[in-house]
Parts: sequence; structure tokens; C-alpha cells
Amino acid sequence: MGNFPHQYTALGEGVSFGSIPMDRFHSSLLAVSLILPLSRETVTENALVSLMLGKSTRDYPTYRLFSRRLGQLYGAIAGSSVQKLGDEESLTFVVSTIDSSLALGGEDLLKESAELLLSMLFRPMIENGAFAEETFRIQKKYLADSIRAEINEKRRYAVSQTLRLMLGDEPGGLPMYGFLDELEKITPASAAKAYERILKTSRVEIVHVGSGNAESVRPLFEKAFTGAFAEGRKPCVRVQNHPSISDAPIKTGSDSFPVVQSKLCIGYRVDLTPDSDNLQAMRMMTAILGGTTTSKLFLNVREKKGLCYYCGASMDRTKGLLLIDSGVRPDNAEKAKEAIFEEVEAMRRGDFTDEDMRFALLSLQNTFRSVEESIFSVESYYRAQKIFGIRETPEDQCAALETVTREQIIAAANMLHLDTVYLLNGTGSGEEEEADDE
Amino acid sequence: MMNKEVISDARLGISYIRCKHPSGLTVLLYPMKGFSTAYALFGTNYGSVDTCFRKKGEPSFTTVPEGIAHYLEHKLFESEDGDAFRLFAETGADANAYTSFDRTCYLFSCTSNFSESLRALLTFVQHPYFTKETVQKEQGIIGQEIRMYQDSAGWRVLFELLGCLYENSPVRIDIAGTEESIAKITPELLYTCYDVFYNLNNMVLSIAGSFDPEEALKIIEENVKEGTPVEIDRAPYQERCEALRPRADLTMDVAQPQFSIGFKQRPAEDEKAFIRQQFELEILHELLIGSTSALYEKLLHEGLVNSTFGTEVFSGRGFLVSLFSGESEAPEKVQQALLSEISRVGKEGIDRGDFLSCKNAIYGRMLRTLYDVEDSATALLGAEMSGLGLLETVNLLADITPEAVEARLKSDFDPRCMALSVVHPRK
Repeated sequence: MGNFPHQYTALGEGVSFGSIPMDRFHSSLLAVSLILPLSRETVTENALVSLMLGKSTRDYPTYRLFSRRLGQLYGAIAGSSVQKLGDEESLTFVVSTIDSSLALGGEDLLKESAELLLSMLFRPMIENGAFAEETFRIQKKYLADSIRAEINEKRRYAVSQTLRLMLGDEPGGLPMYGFLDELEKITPASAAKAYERILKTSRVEIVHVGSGNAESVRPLFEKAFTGAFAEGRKPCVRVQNHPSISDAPIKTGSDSFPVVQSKLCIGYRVDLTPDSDNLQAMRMMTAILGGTTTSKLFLNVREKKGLCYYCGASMDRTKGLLLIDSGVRPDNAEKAKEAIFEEVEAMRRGDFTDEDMRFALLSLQNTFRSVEESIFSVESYYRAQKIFGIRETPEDQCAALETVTREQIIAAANMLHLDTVYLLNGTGSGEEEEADDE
Repeated sequence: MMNKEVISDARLGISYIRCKHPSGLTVLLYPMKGFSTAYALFGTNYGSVDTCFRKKGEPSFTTVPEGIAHYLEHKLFESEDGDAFRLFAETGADANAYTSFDRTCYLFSCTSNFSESLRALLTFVQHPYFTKETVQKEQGIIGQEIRMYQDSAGWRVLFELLGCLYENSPVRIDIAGTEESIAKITPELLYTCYDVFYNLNNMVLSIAGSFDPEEALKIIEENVKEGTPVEIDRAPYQERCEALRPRADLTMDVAQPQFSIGFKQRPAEDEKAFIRQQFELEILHELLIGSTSALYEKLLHEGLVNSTFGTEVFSGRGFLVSLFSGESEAPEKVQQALLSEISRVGKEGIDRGDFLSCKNAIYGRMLRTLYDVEDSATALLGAEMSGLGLLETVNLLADITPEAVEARLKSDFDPRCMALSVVHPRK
């Protein structure tokens, strides 16, 4: 393992502060991530609170004032997002803007960014123990719209349906925006209680990336995350669950929609965690099978046999699964499925060339070496590393990939345990959809 | 030999090289310190709207099937020896291509073996190889791509709108064409298009990030084919001022109605004026109904829009639309509210504080582009093709005044040029 380029220090129990200085972006990013366990009871209210905090604060109480503030900060990008990380989720709040040296009026943009970020977190639109009615109503509607919108794009919908079948009630299988029935139960007062719970129970990761000196804003964070904040806090502890692989029969599922392209998804379980020894071998296996434009699925199933428009494989180290996702003509779905299985079998037999391995290695290394080219991907890469307790730079990963052998790749292919086959069946001709004029 | 100029801006600390090769090719080189990737884009000023054209001096125009530019892009990856993706697999670069309404670009991004990747890019784009068999084979794959887009509500709502706004402009047709139009594509037609539009005089090579510009120039000199610059005549077409139809409705499996409101705008003739017009419209969109506007807040309050709502200056060679899209149970009310706001602001003028905040935001976003490898290569190529350099474009923003924006509102938002398209949920 190489030298990890930066240090994290504790500002208090379960609160970490780190800085990844990189001048080349001529911009800075400050992020606070609140890490919480996923559960059916809390996932919806966590998403709602995160949305409400990320769009307005008592200092900028309306969209209009909040957006105007971002404009003044030279088109700063600010807001919240939710991300699943295995059986945990991360509510991340970000403010990113250009370097102060580029400001037209000599402003200290890093400090102003930090103040906005802390305002989002600690000056929410809560009065008398409840979120402001207006903020609550708008964000609740938006969250409901987002949950319902899953159906709009069929590729994404098919993948979600497959994951639902695969993961069942596992925390990692919960939809990150939650459930409509849970959302209905939330009130402005219960959301305010959820906000308190989130502050009391989350692990907090604070990070600065890019230009500017993090030490200049550190006191602002120190002040905010100690004192009253720290009183009675019980930050959650990370649990690492191994994926559950059973010998239960293969699950199948299907839905029909009047669309012209069908979507076929095939899900495998793999005994894999983010710190597994065989992680890099599984990455190589996935790339050879379906991760590149020279992969087996792309070349054979798409190009040679012309059975689908897209067909690729991706793995999720946090949940221990590998997904093959394809868009097919409805009458080709069965043939495509057989062709995909054939390629997986070929991987298990070791039916791939040294050239396939070389191409996969180069492609994966190129991807890792590109991580540090964007301020946002630096933040999310190192956040995941921190949360999973790993200390590997992208360059470390490149070195580890080089040591993967053919035997290890074959072994990885043989770890695939077929779990679910899902088909979104297209029944439309694409012609009958003109609505009557209203 | 190429003639070379260095274009720089001391305050921004930015400097790039612009060269003109005797073949007519424009080369833009923007080495960036501290980065480890290099990103190269080889683009031609040719897209889906270019369906009727001739070389300057030819007696008559040639009309080609819709979707042929995109088809050509797919086929160019193929040569006698196989697939161009293989060349990049050898170098580890991530290669791709895309076709838009007025542009086709081939690109790669790499963290090592830059020289080999650049050679590969220059080689495959300059070596067309189309046979009857390979052309036919592609019809299946592209047919599936067209179908996939037919299933996308976001795509459909946009093209239904363009179909309402435009009568003759090819921008109303899907970039990939239709299954019927692509069935008419032959190797001969592909060679005809290639011959005209892949003439290096019509192309730009833009490279940004971690690379040695001298090395890049050497490779370009060695690998660029000499040729006679061609000048292209695109057939003019009549396009009415007003929208063709005021409204279109479709039904699909969506959770709630999706809508697009568009105003067909008349693009300024002069290149610089066109860019200024786009800046002014971008600011106007934001001030009228963007996230800093009072109207947006009111619509949110009334539950008529949600955070998916957005505005766009939808523009390219020969077309310009003010676009307002989102989800709403009552798109007609959003449309009405927008029209009233246009008329109110037309009378009362714009808020100077909002104007400044908006200009700052656009300035900040453009600066960020300059410090991102991929975005800067793309922006350099885009600015070059639109006829103005990137730094000039950035500086043009500084000249935009509130008065100009107010005048733009009066001249550019005729309700007769407006249309609404809606995708309704299936009942």
C-alpha cells in the first residue's frame, strides 16, 4: 500500500475532519456527510430531512434567496444528496465554488462556502419543534414525485425491480428515497424529531477538497460540531454484513409495459465485501465479461449476434452482487438470455485470452487514474474509502489489479451465484400513443 | 507546416495554442498542469440537420436520408481490420463518439499511452470503410437504439415540441432518424457525406489535459492527410416565424404529466450576436422562471411545478429555442403563468440585483469549465465551431447589460412562436 495522501483528525466523538488539497481545480469543495444505518423505519424521513436541509436555511429561507446566494458565490453548487453504501446511507451536504483568487470582489469564498454549509446543517427551517409548513409541503411533494418517477425510465426501473427481488428486506436493498406509505405518515413535527435523531446518531465525515486552506475554516467546523452538538450524542457503529447466499431456487420476475424495447436483467450474488481479498479479481472478471467495448457481452451478444442494443455487467462490492443489464427486442429476449449465460459459462471455464485480461486491466487502470480528475469524484472516492475503513489510493488499486492472475479470475467467475432473472416485457409498437387533442 | 498562435488570458492564468493545418484542420491544444488525464476530441461540423447540401460550385444539392450523420458515426468505427475500439483497448484509453444536431465528435480519454491513442483517433476517423454487408448489419443495432429512445418520455416530449415549433427545419427529426429512413442508407451515400463533411477544413481537433503539445503537433503532422479544403453549401429552407401547431399530447407510462414549453426564436445571423443572444436568453430564462425568480417560487408554492423544472437555451446551427420543461399536473397553468410573467417583466423591467447574481453564476460556471479536462476540450471545440474563441466567449459575457436583456425580452418572446407538448400518464 502506498502513502495515503491525507490525514483525518477527530473533532469529537464520531466526527472526522480531513483535507485533500488539490490546487489544479481552481475551485474548492466542502462536504459534510452524515452516515446512518439503513432501515425501513427511517429511510424515508432521512431522505425528506436531507432534501429540506439542502434547499433552504433560516438565513436563506426561500428557494429564491437560497439560489440568489449561490449566484453571488459565482454559481456555487450546493445541496444535499443521499447515497447507499452497503447497509448504511450517507446524507451528504456540499458547497463547491471557484477559488477566491478568481472572485471579482476579493471575497473569501472558502469561508463563505463553509458558512453556507453550516447554515444548511444547523439553521434548518424549524420553529417551535416543527419544520416550516411551506418547506415541508414542497419537499414532501418532490420526494413523492421522485419515488413515483422510478417508472418513467424503464432501464432504471428494470434494474430497481431486479434489486428488489434480489435483496428482499435486506437494509442494502431499501430504496434510498423510501416509501410512499411511510412518507404519508411524516408530519412537520416528526420530521423535526428525525432531524434531531440524525444529528445525535450519525457518524460525521467532514472533508475539504481542492484549493484554499482548510485550516482557515477548520475553527468554524470545530465550533459547530462541539459543545451543544456533542451533548448526549451516540454515533452509530458500522456493521459489515456478508451477503446472504442461499441455495434457494432462482427467482424470476416480469412486468409488461407497452414499450418497444424489452429490458432483461440477470442478477448474481457474490460473497464479496469492500475489503475482500478477491475484490480486484472480481473487478477484472466483470470487465472482461461486460465492462468494456471489447468485453464478451459487448462483442458477442451485441456486435456479433446483434441481440441487444446495450448489454453490460457491473458489480456492487458493497452488497455483493453482479448485475447484467440489457435492452433487447421483445422477440429476442430468450435468445439474448441464452447468449448471456453462454458468456458467463465461458468465463467460468477460463475461456478468455491474455489479451482480454490486458485490455481489462488497462481499462480499469484508466478508470482509477481518472478519479482524481474531478473534485466531485475525489470527494466520493475518498468518502467511500473512509467509510469502509480502507486506505487505498487509486494508484494502489492499479497496482493491486496488476497482480491478479488468470486462476483468480476463473475463481471469481465461479463465485457467481445466479439469483434472479427479470424481464420487462415490451408489448408496444410505438405507434398507438397519440393522445386525443384536449 | 502549421501556423501557430498562443491565446492567453493573464488574469485567469489560462493559455492555449491554436493552429491551422494546410489541410484546413483547426487544432486546439490546452495543456493543463497537475492533471493526469488527456482528453482529445476530433469533431466535424456535421450533424443530423445536415440532410441537404453540396460542395461549393456544384450545380445541385444532394438530399440524404434522415439519421445518416449518426449512422456514419457508428460505421466509422469499423475498418478492414476490425473495430476501432480494439485500437483503444490496446492503449487503455476510453473511447467514444456522439452525434448531435449539428456536430459529430470522436473522442478518447487516457492516463497513459497518449501518443498511440492520438494516432489511433486520427487514423480511424480518416479511414472510412463502408461495405454493403457492414452497412446492413448496423441497421439492426441502430433500429434498436431508435426504439429505445421511443420509450423515453423525456426524449419524446422534446421531439413532439420541436415538431410543433418547426415546419421545415430538420431539427424536428430524431438525430438517429427513423427505422424507415435508415433503411435507405447505402455505402455510396455514406461516402458522399464523408467526402463533404469529413473534409478537414470542416473539422476541429481539440486536446486538453496532461500531454506534451510538441509531441501532439508532431503526431498530427505525421497523421493528417493532405487535401484540398472543401467549402460546404447547406441548402436553405423556409421556416415560418410562428409555431406550426400550438400543442401536442402523447400518452406513455409516466407517473405524472411531463411537459415542455418552447418559444421558437430567430437566431441572430452574425456569430458574435448569436452568442450574445444566447447569453441574454440564458439570463432571461433564469430571471423569468429560474430558481432565483419569484414566479418559480409561486409555482412551487402552488404545487404546479417541482424541482425537476428547468430552463434551457436549446441551440445550434440554424435553430434556437427557449425551453422550459418539467413535471406538472397542470402544464397549461405553468404556460399561462409564464406568459403573464413575460408581459409583466416586459413592462416593469428586470431586477438589477438578480441580474448581477445571475451573471456571476454563469461566469463562475464557465470558469469551472476551464479547469476541467473534459469540459474544457469540449468547450474549446464548441466555441471554435461557433466561430468565436473560448476566452472571447467568456469575455463577451462581461458586456451583457440589463438593458440588452430587457430589449431581448421584448423582441424574442412572441406568443405565436410558442408551443406546449405534454406526455400524459396512461389511465
